[in-house]
Amino acid sequence: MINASSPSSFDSLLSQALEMPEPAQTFALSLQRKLELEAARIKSEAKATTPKRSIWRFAIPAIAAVLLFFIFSLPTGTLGRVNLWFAHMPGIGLVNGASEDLILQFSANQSKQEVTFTITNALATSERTQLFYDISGLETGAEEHVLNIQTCKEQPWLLLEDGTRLSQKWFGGSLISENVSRGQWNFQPLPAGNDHFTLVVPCIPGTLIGFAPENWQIPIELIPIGTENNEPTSTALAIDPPEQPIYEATLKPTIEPTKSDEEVPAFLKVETVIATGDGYYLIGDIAKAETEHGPLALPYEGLVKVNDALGNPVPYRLYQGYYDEILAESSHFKNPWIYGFATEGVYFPLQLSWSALQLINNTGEEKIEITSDPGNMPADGVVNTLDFTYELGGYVLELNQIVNRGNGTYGVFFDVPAGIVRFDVAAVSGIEQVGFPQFLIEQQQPQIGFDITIEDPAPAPISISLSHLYTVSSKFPIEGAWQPYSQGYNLAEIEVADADLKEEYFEVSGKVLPLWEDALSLVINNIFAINRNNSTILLETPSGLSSEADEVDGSVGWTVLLPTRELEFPIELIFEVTLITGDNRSINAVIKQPWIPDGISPLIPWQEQILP
Amino acid sequence: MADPDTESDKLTVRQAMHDPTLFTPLYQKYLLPVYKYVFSKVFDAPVAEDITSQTFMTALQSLPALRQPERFSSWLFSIAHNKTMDWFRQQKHQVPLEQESEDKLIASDVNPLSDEVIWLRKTISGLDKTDQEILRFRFVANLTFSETAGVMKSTENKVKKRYYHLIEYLRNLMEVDHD
Repeated sequence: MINASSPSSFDSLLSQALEMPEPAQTFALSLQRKLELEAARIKSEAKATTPKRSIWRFAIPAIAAVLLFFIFSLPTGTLGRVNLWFAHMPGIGLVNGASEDLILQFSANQSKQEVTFTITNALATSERTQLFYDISGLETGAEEHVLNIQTCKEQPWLLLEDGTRLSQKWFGGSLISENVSRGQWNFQPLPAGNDHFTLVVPCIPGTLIGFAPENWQIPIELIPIGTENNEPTSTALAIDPPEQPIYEATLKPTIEPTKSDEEVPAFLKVETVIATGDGYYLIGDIAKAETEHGPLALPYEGLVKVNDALGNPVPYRLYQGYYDEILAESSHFKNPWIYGFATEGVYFPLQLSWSALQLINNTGEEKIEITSDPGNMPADGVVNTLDFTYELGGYVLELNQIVNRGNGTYGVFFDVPAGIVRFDVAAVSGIEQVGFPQFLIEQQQPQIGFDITIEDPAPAPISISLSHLYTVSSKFPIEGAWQPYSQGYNLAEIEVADADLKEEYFEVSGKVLPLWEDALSLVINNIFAINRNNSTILLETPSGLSSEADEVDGSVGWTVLLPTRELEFPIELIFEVTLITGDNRSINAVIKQPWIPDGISPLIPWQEQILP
Repeated sequence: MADPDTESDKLTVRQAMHDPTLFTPLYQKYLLPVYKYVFSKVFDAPVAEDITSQTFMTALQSLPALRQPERFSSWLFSIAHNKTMDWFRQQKHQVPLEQESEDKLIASDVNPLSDEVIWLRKTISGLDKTDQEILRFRFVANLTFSETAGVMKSTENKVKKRYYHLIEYLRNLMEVDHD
């Protein structure tokens, strides 16, 4: 006879009443094995998405160096028109993705000996044909500094099927990271109907003659942007720039700009979005911009920072455009760029941040003239090391090297004090052409260099002038955001349908409605909530993890229990969701929805408004 | 003073959050209570296995998002609870759950049961769902009051109070019924 009045006996009875069978041993072992496999998969994926150190560790600084090299390079005589060309401001444009342009669908590569030449991307527009390349396997030392006159100087070309050659307009840079070179070429535009051609590279630019495989012929096939294989094209989300610039860096001497309410002009415009198998290419344009204080520049040493909606950095590849349209008469020339990134594990919208530099002309209209007798210039293939100093705007510029590149072209290099990022150069006499002054930061000592081509026959003296010496006076924080979408601005929408105040919590329920037009399903991965003061509200129940989709609108229901002791309205409900689209693409997104119970004012403690 | 078991769990959870291959000890510790808890709701071994698998898989995949490692057990049982509720929704059960549970509960035991145990099972299956859940968490899942409170989004004191009232109620009812 059980004695129910005895606590221990009664507990024993309850234990018996609630005794449940154990799981089968085979099931336990099988599940353990499944979990171990899944854990291994998660771990390996996490490793795979961690930015690799090898190439990029070196490539990013190298990109920075080389891009700075280009970005501060302007042709003499065009500065008046385009001296602001590298100034770009936030406000990512809202632009349709459809385009007549062609793009590379699959990377093309070729290997010779240990060297692999890969065309990583291509963009053919009515204005140019741009090829982006990686060359790996180069022996250290095979690629020398651009000054080395023994390096390959033969230009690549494009060979069309009818035998036509398209020549190179600009070489968009080459950079070295141990044994990897990366860069781009800009060729003439492809005639209509030529989406197949061969890239012919007699030798790898910058490599020592005879040290690297030569005579490369790489077939390339382009496809139109927006064709079925590239679906869906998308549009970009416009984000307003910050209202007030923040001044945080001042270099001397400088003219301190006054803070201004002026609108900061747009800088990055997403023109085309291409969905790839595992990510996106954002193709855009950098517009020139200026403020009342002078030109603005984008400092490439920092590059753009891209974080996803959870704050995690998004690794990306940058294909920076070049400025062949810089000579165009139009007030706005194109300076295209491409960001390529994978979307696995990435939550939209992406947050892009950059810093623009406010440049100040420290010299006014002051100029200095540098004169030389042509007979003092170095002979073909010779480098003259010099030690001439000049003063411009209170700064000392040291002319330390002139290189004879052949064919009457000379490279002229100045050591400049830190803080100077640019000056203008113009021919005065005896000079046929002046190349772009290029800022070099590869060396510890900053340099600005440019090429000149001397007239033939060279009159004496030859003379150039230097002017408009620019320093950086301040930085503008630039922020933008981007996410793919096809209906409205959000990928999904949160609806709060019901809120019930219980003793200790609000039971709030609603649904998440996918807005992507061909969304097959929507999964709620996680739900968070934050208070008005940004403190996190503890929701330990992953309520949304296992909801069913509505058959009609595909929405997924959710319920959260919000502990009343923690609430400070309005709160923000934050949902991490995954959309599966009709083309089987997974799009992760963070959707936010502010919420305050009906009839509650945020100005008075809510408890006073609800409780008697 | 911190519960050494909780502290040990917390450490294991933290390790697994950084390295998912270290999840196995958590699985081994919680398989039995999770399975039993799920079984106590569905009374079907294959279904309980399926839900248990989903529970641990979700826990493994979502572990990095867990903000309070010390509340792992509460979180895990929350997942189990949700997965079970999903299963019920999918089944679109027409039979009232209480009645079906009661029938299955009695039918699930092959060993002869005492009258008191049968009486208790019938009585429990007629209890309020929250009370049933408290008993499951305490007797099937062997959760502490604190852990039970965590799963039920309540406070430890409230759960304790409700539990002791419930036990008292059952005991008195049993005495009355058996007198």
